[in-house]
Parts: sequence; C-alpha cells; structure tokens
Amino acid sequence: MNFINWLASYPKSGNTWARIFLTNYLNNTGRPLDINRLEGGPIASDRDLFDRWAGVEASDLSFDDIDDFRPHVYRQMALHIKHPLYLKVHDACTRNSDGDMLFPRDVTSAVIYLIRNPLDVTVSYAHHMGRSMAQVVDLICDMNGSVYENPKRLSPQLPQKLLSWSAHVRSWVDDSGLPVTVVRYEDMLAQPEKAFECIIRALKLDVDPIRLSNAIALSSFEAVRQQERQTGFKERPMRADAPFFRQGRSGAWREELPQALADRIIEFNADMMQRFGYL
Amino acid sequence: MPYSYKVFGLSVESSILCPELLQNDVADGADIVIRFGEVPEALENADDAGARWQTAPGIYLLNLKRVGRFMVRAGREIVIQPVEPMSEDSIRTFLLSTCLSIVLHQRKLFALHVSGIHTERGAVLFAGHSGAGKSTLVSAFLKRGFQMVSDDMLALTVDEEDRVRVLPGFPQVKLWADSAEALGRSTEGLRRVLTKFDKFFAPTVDAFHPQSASLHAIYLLGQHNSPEFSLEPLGQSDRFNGLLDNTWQKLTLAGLGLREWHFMTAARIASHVYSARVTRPQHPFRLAEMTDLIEMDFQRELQPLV
Repeated sequence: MNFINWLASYPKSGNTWARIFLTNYLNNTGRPLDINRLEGGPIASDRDLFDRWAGVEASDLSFDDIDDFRPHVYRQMALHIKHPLYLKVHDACTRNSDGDMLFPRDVTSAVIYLIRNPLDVTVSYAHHMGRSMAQVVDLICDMNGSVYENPKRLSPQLPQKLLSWSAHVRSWVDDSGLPVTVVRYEDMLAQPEKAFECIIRALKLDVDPIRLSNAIALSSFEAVRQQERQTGFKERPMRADAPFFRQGRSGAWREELPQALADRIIEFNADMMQRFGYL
Repeated sequence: MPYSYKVFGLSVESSILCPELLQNDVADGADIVIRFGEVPEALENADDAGARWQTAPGIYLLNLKRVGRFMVRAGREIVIQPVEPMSEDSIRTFLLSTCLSIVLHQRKLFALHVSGIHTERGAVLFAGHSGAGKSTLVSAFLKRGFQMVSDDMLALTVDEEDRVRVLPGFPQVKLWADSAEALGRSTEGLRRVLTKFDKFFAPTVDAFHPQSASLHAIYLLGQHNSPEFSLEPLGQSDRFNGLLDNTWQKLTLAGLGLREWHFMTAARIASHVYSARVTRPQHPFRLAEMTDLIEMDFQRELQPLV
C-alpha cells in the first residue's frame, strides 16, 4: 500500500512543466531527463490505465459507470504500488453517482494544484488542440464543460468533467477536502526557486537547495524545447498547430486573444481571477 | 431447456441465450454451466479484492451496480443474478468477456486479450491497448479473405513438448461506426455495445475459423505521434512481458491461486513464439499500410529472436 500525489490542473496550466521538474528532482542525475519518460504519467484519466486496473473495459461501460469505477481504480493502484505515486490529472474534483470522490481521500497524500491565468490558458489550449480561441472560451465558460465525451468513439482518455475554469479551481481548492497546495504558473516563471520548493515541500520530499536549482535549470523552457526539437514529445497531439513547448511565458493573451473573448472570460471568471491575482 | 454452445473448444450449457456463440449440436456433456441464481453481494472468505471484484480459492465474484452480480466457480459454473429490470445485452457483455476469461484461467487455459486471424502458417494475433486497432485490423484481414479466430479473447494451451495451440473464441467483432465505414461495412441492424456509443457487435460467422490451430506470431500494436510505421521483432523478455500485459484479468490471478501457473506458462509461450511490436502514426489510422506491413511480415517463416 502506498499513496498518490495528484498533480492537478486545468489543461495547459504548467502541469507538464511541473512533471519535468519533478522527474529531474527525483532522479537527480545532473543531466536533462527524457521528456518522454516523465513522472506523473500517464494521466489519471488514461483509458488503458483504467482498463488494466478496473478489471472491466471502459468501452463496455457507460460514462456514469466509468466514474463509479474510477475511485476504486485509484484505490487498486495505491494498494499495489511500492513507492508514492505522482499522477497528473485534468478532471475537476467531483463526486460520482455513488457519492464517492473521484480522487479518494483515503489514498491521497497531497494535491499540487497548478493554476494559470485563464486568458493565457485559452491561447495555449487553442494551439495545443488545433481549435479556435472562441471554441476554447466556450469551454472555459461552460459550467458543464467536459472533454473526451465523444459518444461516437471512446478516445485514449476517459471522459473528463472540467466544469468552467472557475468551478475547476473551486472543486479542488475549496471543495475537495484534500490537502491542496496551490502553485501559480506565473510564480513558477518569476520565482522558480520559491515556487518549486513549495512543490517539493508539499510532496513531503526533502528540500536540497543544490538539487533544486539543478532541477530547475534542467527543466527550463529552453532545455525542454530543445529536447522536443530533437526527439519530439509524445504528449503533443498530432492536431496541434505548434510545438508542445510553444512560448513558456505569461501574458501572450495580450497579443493573441481578441478583446471580446478576453472580456467574456473575465466576466465569467472575475471572482476567481481576482482571488489569484489575475485581475 | 438450456441452450448449448461451443467456445474455446469447450461445451457450454446456458440458461441465457447467447446468439454470439456457435451452437453445439452434439450432446457431449457440459464443461461449463451458465445459469441464473442467487449471488451474494460479497464473498465471506475473500482473499483478494479489486475495483468491483473479489476472489477466494476457486471463486470469483463481480458486482456491477447497474448490470448484476456474477459468480464464477471452479472453471465450471457461472451464476448470474441480474439487477431489475434485467438487460440480457448488458449481462452478455460481461459474461462473454470477464466471466469467460476467469473460467479459462481456472481451467488453466491462458486467456489472452488479443484479436486474431487464421493463416496457412498458423494463428496470427494482435494485442494492444483499447483503441489500438485490434478489431479494425482483424476486419481488414477478413476483407482480404482470412478467417478470424478472435476479436478480443482466445485461449492458449501448451502441451508437454511446448507446442502452443490457439483455441478460438466466437464469431463476432466489436467495431466503432467509423471503423466499419472505413471498411465499407454497414452497421444497419447491428446491436450496439452500449446504447449511447456508436460501437456495434458485428457477427462474422461466415469468416470464422473454429478449430484449434498452432500459433505463428503475436504483434503488439502501439502508436506514436510521428508519421512513420515501425515493426520491431521482440526479444524473449519483451515477449514474456507482452503476454503478461495482455492476459485477461491478470490482477485476479494471485487471489485465484494461479500466479505461478501464469508466469510459467507465459515463459514457455514466450520462448517458442515470434512476437514483434508494430507502431503506427496516431492519426489518421492508415489501415491499409499497416495491414500490408504486418501481412508481409507474417507471410515469412518466423523464428523468435534469441
């Protein structure tokens, strides 16, 4: 028996960057580790992971059944793993029809909740999915927002309820009852030592300053972009219109996001944006 | 009057109508009995438990809130207590997958999660994650005139001289509507796997090879986000791991007291059977190219890498 650390975030909010950092910190080899073999993967909503641990196939189950199984799947994994597990997740933290939390308290060690300005999330997500900015804004402002809920064909990822951007944040940070540490993407950029040390502490790992600065350097945007150029990155969808590691900065929305779309996001998410310093 | 069927070379007597299975016209005594009856919510003496299942020596229990409870005993009996109102379609989905695989393991027949076809050189099997294209590939080979031996489950046996035989499942493929369309196959009149999905059960009675056969090759299907295909023959440890990874219900085997048998059998199969990993571009699914690549490979005489 061991415990799971959830690396939770709305998509395109620095989750992969945190995983690259964590992989470098944990392994501490002094050279950049392969971005195609990261800790924290696969994603918690991976369909193959579900099939392997559920004992029945997701493609034989309704969406509600799948959600009913998911907490049991994570309990099974926790029961069998020999080391603490780090698992990326983009779902909002909701309950299933049994009233069970999707990410159960009894197998959770910690949650790192990565948050990023939704205006920048929109720009990044649109490039990542090869979608229009307007489509992404629709998703971000949809109280019932979800991804991979295509009834035509179950995709490699299970259906995931994202809710709206604000509701996603609230589900984890305010309502989950889990030990959550919030880390802002913007702080990972501006004050990496402080932000990543906060992650290490929350994950109950020993803080070693030299190791920390090495891991930060090895997971810098330039370092990972160079790796992606050389070897490719398996988590980049083929429909993406840009490299996965595209700009790695904050504020790109000012150049790319039409004002009307920015206004919609702000109007819908103002309270939560204000709370985390984005307004 | 129970129905009689033949599957994996075993005779089945069933209280539930299973149109998917081949009928058995010979009164040869049942190896497996499928019946309705009372099934407890939980086993009193469970040794191991998973997401919705429990095991004790010789017994497996599956409890699905919206479908029913299933108990599999000693490789001989499957007892089903459906929820009301009963949906025979949902029951058969789990009966003909999870429950049958437990029966096979309990009888020490290696239940492998693969699709497969029969060729002149022996059976050729395809393993891979859900969505890797197992059923689609089999359907493509059916169009080329091959017969199928499995859509997602078959049994392997190994004799004293380490000869591996394949025991075919039943004549049906589960196809998503877009795969069916790509293959020029109509989905009109086909039963859906689940009412909300565009995934259908497609019978393949006319293109099924029901007899046991030797095993020629196993291909592990994968995908990546670059535009090339690759085909890479596997060494013994990768072949062994491929068999373990693609065993039906492998998490239950310890509780059923079958772990040692499972490892030993996988090792014996791995040392005698050729296996290769085939990786395709994620999108689009270039089916004809993939089918060509694999067919060119298995039409050769194949020796497992040492």
